[in-house]
Amino acid sequence: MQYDISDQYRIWLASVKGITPKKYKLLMETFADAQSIWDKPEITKDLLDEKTFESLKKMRSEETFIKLFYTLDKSGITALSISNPDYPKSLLELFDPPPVLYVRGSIDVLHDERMLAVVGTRTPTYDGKKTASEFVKTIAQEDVVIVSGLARGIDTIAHTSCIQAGGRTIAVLGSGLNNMYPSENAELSETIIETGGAVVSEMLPDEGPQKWSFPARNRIIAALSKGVLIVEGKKTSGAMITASNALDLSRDIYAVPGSIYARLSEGTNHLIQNGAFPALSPWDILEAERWGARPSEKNSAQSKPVSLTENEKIIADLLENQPLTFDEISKQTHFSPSELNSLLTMMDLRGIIVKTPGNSYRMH
Amino acid sequence: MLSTTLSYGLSGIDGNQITVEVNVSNGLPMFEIVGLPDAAVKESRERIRAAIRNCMLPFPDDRITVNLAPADIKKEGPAYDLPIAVCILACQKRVNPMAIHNIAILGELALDGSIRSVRGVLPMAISAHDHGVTEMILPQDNASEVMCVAGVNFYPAKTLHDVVQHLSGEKPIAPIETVSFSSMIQKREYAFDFRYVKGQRSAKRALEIAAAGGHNVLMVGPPGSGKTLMARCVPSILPDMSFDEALVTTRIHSVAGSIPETGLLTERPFRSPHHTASHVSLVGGGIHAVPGEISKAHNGVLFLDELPEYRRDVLEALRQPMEDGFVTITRVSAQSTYPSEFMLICSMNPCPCGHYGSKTHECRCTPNDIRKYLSRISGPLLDRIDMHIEVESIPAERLSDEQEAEPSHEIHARVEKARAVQRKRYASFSSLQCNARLSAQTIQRFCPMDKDAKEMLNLATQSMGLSNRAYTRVIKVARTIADLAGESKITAAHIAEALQYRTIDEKYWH
Repeated sequence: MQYDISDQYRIWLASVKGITPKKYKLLMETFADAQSIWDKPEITKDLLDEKTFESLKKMRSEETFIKLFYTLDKSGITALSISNPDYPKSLLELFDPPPVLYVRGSIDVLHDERMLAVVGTRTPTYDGKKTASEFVKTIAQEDVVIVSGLARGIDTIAHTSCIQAGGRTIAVLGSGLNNMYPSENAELSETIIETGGAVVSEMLPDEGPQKWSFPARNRIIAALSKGVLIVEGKKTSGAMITASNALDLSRDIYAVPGSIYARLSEGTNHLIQNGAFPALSPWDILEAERWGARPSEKNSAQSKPVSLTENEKIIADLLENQPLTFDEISKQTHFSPSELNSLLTMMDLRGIIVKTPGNSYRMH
Repeated sequence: MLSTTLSYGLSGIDGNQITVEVNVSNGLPMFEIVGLPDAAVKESRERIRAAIRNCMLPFPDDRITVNLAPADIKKEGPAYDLPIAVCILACQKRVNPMAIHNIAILGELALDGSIRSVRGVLPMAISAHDHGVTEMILPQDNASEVMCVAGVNFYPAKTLHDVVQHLSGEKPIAPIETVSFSSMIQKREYAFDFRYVKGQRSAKRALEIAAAGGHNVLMVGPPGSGKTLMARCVPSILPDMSFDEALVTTRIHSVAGSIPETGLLTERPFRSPHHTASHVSLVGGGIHAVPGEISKAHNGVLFLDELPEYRRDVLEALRQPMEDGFVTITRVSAQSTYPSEFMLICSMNPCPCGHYGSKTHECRCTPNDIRKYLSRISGPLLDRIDMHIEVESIPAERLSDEQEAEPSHEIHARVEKARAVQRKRYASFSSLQCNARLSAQTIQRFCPMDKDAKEMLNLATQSMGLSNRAYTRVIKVARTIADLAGESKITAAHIAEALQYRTIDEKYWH
């Protein structure tokens, strides 16, 4: 990647330890370009605190400069400074846009018109997982880019479901691009890139995850997207931070409602109470954003009603309302354990029910 | 003056006959034992001398030579104290040398002349019987061990003095009355009974199948769900031991020095070594190559609670004995082969915090934590476990409204019936006693399936991605389910139920 000379100085300046997005903005407003700071670091003395000023002087060496660009090159990372025409415009709406966005993968995808953030808890329930995957698959098929945070749980499901549906997805990391967190998603990030998506971060490639970096990346997720879908989350979760960021940026907020007793639906129900759009189906979002029209009832691929035997129907009726464990089913029916065992396996094999950890069964 | 008698040593769980020869001749007073004696045997000189004198019996001030034949087998332990002492007395005509010529004598002497118990009396008694020995003098404390061995007169002795009086005919000891095996087995009593396990219908059904087919079992479930309790209940539903089985198991325990008061083990053993157990304590070994837990669990249950907490190398060492049904331990001084056909029951939590998949608690583990925890159990070991049972946690409020469950003896009756079917089917195969021991070749022959069953198995293979090994495991378990139902052919319902017991490896181990 070739950078023009003024861009290079900007990227260098943003990499200086202690230069926060706000300080960078202040410096740029005062001096117009970064080269003058490189030439004469003293001019910033009045604007910066002592520590940052010292680190700026220390980092002003040919060696750091070359090393920075060498690392970027070697890892295949593109650094988009805020003045670069490729820098996503939507981020400029932030009051503290990242001075530099480090990108691996496609740059084009960052400029897509249709972008939806899908976020949620790291420990989703079975229903949460199912919702995330179904919603994302339908939405991605309408050529919408799915943005998420590559965290465990809903984030991971959002990315993988999008890829499965043949869509492109953007992962915004809370750590440097060479310092994948959580590490088990390193492989997923490669798949994201291979399928035309991008992995981005505002942190230097080798920086590790910090406590503050996750809320900070949430603002990028919110800013990139047109709307934010919150699948599941407690009242004090990161997903709720993304939602409030989205609110500040006047993005559309969609929340999946849940039971009032479900702890992981606390956050989304609260959002709906405060005016978020309740998302009961992916088409609610697609229609609200004018990205697609709901297929008419007739055309929609209604799953064929499976024919059930009498015994299977008894079990299906029981599981209709709530998932039950083997013991619970056995107590509420007259089946012997051996009969019930074979009945459940057959229904499992036919895809009518699923078995989940804890010896528990639910409708598919 | 020369006198001889018989005694027994141990090699593995077999006894070998030792001829004790004592020669007292004129010369400087001396007491020498030859024939590869170990330290305990050499020290017997001091015990014998003191014991004879303290019983007010004469000890010769002559040259005493003791030979333990055959001379090339190592002699261990203090069991030769009594035969040597009796021979010395015979040399002085205090005991009739002809009276001891063809009898076997075992026992350790205390300094006051009383006789202490020795290890491994049962295998020695059985060997004596096989060798045609008709009389045996043994320590009173070991008497209960040999109660069930018929055909040999056993004379339990308390002191050296008793023995002398018995042999001289002054005051004969009454032989032990043999007790028939069936009368011993009547008294089956178990502290743990399935009657007291509330709920857990699926796990109980699975354990019934496992007991009926001798299948190895892994129970996965959150802490406090009753895994350990159920495992302890398993011996109460296992089929009764046959006399031969009881004899072999008791022999092993006799060698290990742990014999119950009743003498013969009539209950199948239940061994639950702690998870800090070493290689040697589990498999066997030590200087004398003594049997380990897996051999003590022969014909019974080996229960490994919290499986991932065991050292990995210890678990891997189980693989070969599980496959072969015996273990050979080789040490510098000895080589012993012990049988080790046990039913393995293990339990584990689904994740480090124990609540993965629980309805009542939240799991705090990351996917990585869970993967690491599960990877402590190797695939090959898992392959040898036919049934994976998921045990669900039961909320406390549900415990109170459960009615009392089916008692163990009813389940036991069904298990016994299914085992009888298997014994009949495998009558001509000595290495095959239960369905769990079916091999790929014998499955073909003994597990005929109807058309529906084959179709269902094929469907499952495709949709569940069954491995080859898992495939045979499902058939084996289905065979047992069919046996429990009293059907000769495996039907789709049997296969379907068998499939329930392997869903865990796709859910947790991927």
